[in-house]
Amino acid sequence: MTTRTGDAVFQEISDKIGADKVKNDEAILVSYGFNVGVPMFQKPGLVILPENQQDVIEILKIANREKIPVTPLSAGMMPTHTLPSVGGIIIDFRNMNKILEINSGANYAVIEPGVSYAEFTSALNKKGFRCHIPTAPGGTSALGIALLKPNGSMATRQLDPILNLEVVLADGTLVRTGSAAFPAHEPYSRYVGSPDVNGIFCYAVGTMGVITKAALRIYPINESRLIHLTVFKDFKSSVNFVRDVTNHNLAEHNVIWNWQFYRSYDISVPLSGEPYIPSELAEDPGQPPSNLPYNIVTTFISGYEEMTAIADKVCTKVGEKYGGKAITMEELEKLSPGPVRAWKEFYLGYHQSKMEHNKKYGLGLVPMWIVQARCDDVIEIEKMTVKAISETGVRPICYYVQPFDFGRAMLFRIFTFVDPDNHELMGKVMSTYQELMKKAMANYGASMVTPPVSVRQLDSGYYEILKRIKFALDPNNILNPGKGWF
Amino acid sequence: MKLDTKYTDIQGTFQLCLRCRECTFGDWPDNYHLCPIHNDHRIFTASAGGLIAIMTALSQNKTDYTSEIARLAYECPTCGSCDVCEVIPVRPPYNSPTDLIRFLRYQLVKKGLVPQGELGELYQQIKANGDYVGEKLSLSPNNQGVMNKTVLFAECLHDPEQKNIFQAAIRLLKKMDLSIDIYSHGGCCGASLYDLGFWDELKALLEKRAKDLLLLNDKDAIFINPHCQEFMTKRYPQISAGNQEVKPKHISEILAEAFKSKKLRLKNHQKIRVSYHDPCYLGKELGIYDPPREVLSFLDGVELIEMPRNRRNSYCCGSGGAAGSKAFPDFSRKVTLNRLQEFKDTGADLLITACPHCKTAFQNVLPVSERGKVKDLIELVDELII
Repeated sequence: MTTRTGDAVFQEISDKIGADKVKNDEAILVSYGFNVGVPMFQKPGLVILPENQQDVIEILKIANREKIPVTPLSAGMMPTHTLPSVGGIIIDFRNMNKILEINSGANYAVIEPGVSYAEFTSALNKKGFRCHIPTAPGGTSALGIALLKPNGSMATRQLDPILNLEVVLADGTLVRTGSAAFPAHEPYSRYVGSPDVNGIFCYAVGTMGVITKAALRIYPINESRLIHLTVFKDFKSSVNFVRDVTNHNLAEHNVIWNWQFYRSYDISVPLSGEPYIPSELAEDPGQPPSNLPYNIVTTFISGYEEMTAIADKVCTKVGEKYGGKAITMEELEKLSPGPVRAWKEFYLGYHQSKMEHNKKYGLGLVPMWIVQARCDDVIEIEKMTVKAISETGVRPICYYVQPFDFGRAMLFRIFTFVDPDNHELMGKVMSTYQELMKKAMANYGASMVTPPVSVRQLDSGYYEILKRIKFALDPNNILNPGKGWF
Repeated sequence: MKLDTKYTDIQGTFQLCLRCRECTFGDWPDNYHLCPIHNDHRIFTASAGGLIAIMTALSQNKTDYTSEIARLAYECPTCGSCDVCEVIPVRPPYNSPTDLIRFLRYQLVKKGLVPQGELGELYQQIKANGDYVGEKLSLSPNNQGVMNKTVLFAECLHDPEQKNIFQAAIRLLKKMDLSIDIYSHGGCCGASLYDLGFWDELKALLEKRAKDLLLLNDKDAIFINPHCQEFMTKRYPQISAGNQEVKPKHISEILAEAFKSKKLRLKNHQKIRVSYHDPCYLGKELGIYDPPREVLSFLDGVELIEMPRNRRNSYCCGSGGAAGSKAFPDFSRKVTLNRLQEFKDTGADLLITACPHCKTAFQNVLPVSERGKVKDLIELVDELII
């Protein structure tokens, strides 16, 4: 890769797609040179804001010919992968933001990459539909998140929301996947009796092709929906409950919350005045106060009223089987009103207004650690992780755990808050995370869900396939290079 | 934000920006696009997050100060839509996005990059005179003493139109039998200088006025201009390290209380339909949304028709305070017209607001024959009261 953007390329792309979409002003380039959570700066050569698929095709044809690296961003929140190459092209999709179709007969929606979660959930809500809700702010790209096999509100039953994609390859070739690959381009089905090409572009962070449109699964808002709450004194009982409920097909979704996470919903950082931070968040995360359960499991049930009523009762029975106890929202509100508010919004409102949880980022930076493992292994991972991170002295320590793929695996996500000026503590936490990752993978069979490190951990045969596909599709390696993968 | 803030003091806040775009739009489910610069430019750079990224680059010497950066920093009307987005924290030790933008302006001023034109001329005046005084307020009674517990904060006028509003307020306060003094020492409180990044001049002004401003301590101060109220009650205590303690009430709160206790009586009048524009500084920065609406509800025969973008989802009038619109008047005008169209779509007869700068901004883009469609809340009440 030797060529970077210069005046000639700027002019050629401007002539092809319109000068107002192509930016080379210093202030603009510099503003795109940083990334979330990564202390690096790499200034692109051009920032381009396409408005349609043809714009993207023209950009890529020129970039491929000139061997200029291209980094696509839908919202730009993904750490690491939205950092541009020096002198490369950033494609910012915010102006390709149409919801093209909401098909209520076949339960799918077609959207462009610039559609935010807030816009998507709002449009679906008006039509009596809902979608997978990630643990991300409303400004996130709905398509961007869908491509990352998200671990949000529907992860129990749904592996990923993607049905079909329209992708522009590095050389400008347009590809449609799934049923949209057939002449009528109707995007209702992912599987069409051939290898599933969608998978190549999901979780590829723009390295295999640039996605210009996607059909996503959507779900009708059912007649009855409720959140069943079960409290447990220990994590093992919570996991066994979730496994049982999932295996018996009772719930649409389950999340296990530790006490410092759900209590952190009570943090308030008003526009003026002092913040309110519950004092017990400074305590040992392994020892909740006597009135707060160690774990709360939220079990989301939806369907016909008769069915949800029965499922609710059965969940109570199953909870008692594992030493837990069902509580009502009203009872929880007396202990901790914050999670009641947030969970109602998340599960019953199908959105997260202004990122209910993110406002607590006023406490500092949020280093996170995420793995997936089998249920029994996650029990050991929780013990190991909470102890190790506690010993760094950082507080609070928040985690949530949810099943994937009908409970075959569970995702374990832990995070805390660190003052951005406390570099020493941040260093301690990050090195603890790294040690924990090695142990979790070696001793408990954990695997990672966060790129790019996960690619390097893959078996060599798997990685070999990915490399061969990558260089078949992108021989000049212009698509988001330098991110530790290819 | 303290006036001697350095980049090292605020780098922690820079790192908290998630680039989530929430600083550009309002609450779910409407998700109105509320950031005027992002609305126009539709690019990351033209947003609070984008300006934070630019500041990160400047603080790390990755780029230089340029007129392009100045353009973005001064087009921003500091409406506060980003402040209420609830992701970037707004409490010490962190700083609100609008304060970060003001800090950026200060850096640009130090580099000689105040936008040319009206704002540049204004800056030269301020440098020469040490103050930004449009027209000295001369109200009757012309009481320069501060004797009563309750004072009306009535500093300089930035346009003569404000005088009508202040005079109407004084008439109303008299009718309420309130014993007040007028606090008017003939100078700018500093709000405009703070907003515009003229911080060296602000330091000098506040030093000169420190004794005067102490007279407000422990007084119940009634404010008409939300910019002055916001500066005196939120910013000035931060700048003066807690030497100032003003107990503020906005005039709309006083009027609402007066109506509740039946101190004001209505005349007979024709029915009118009004829409209410939430001023950015009154609403988003001070959280005062209900009292103006309560006042309107007491005016029998006045029907309030809300604009779709209201309360904390209100859209900026484009004025950027007293002088913000002088930087890039064409851009400001675009913002004002956007908001005015929303008013026109309601079909209401009058557009009511509770900030003199909003009123001026709206009137300035209307033909002379239509300027009567925009009134301050105080003027409306004054017209309708016996």
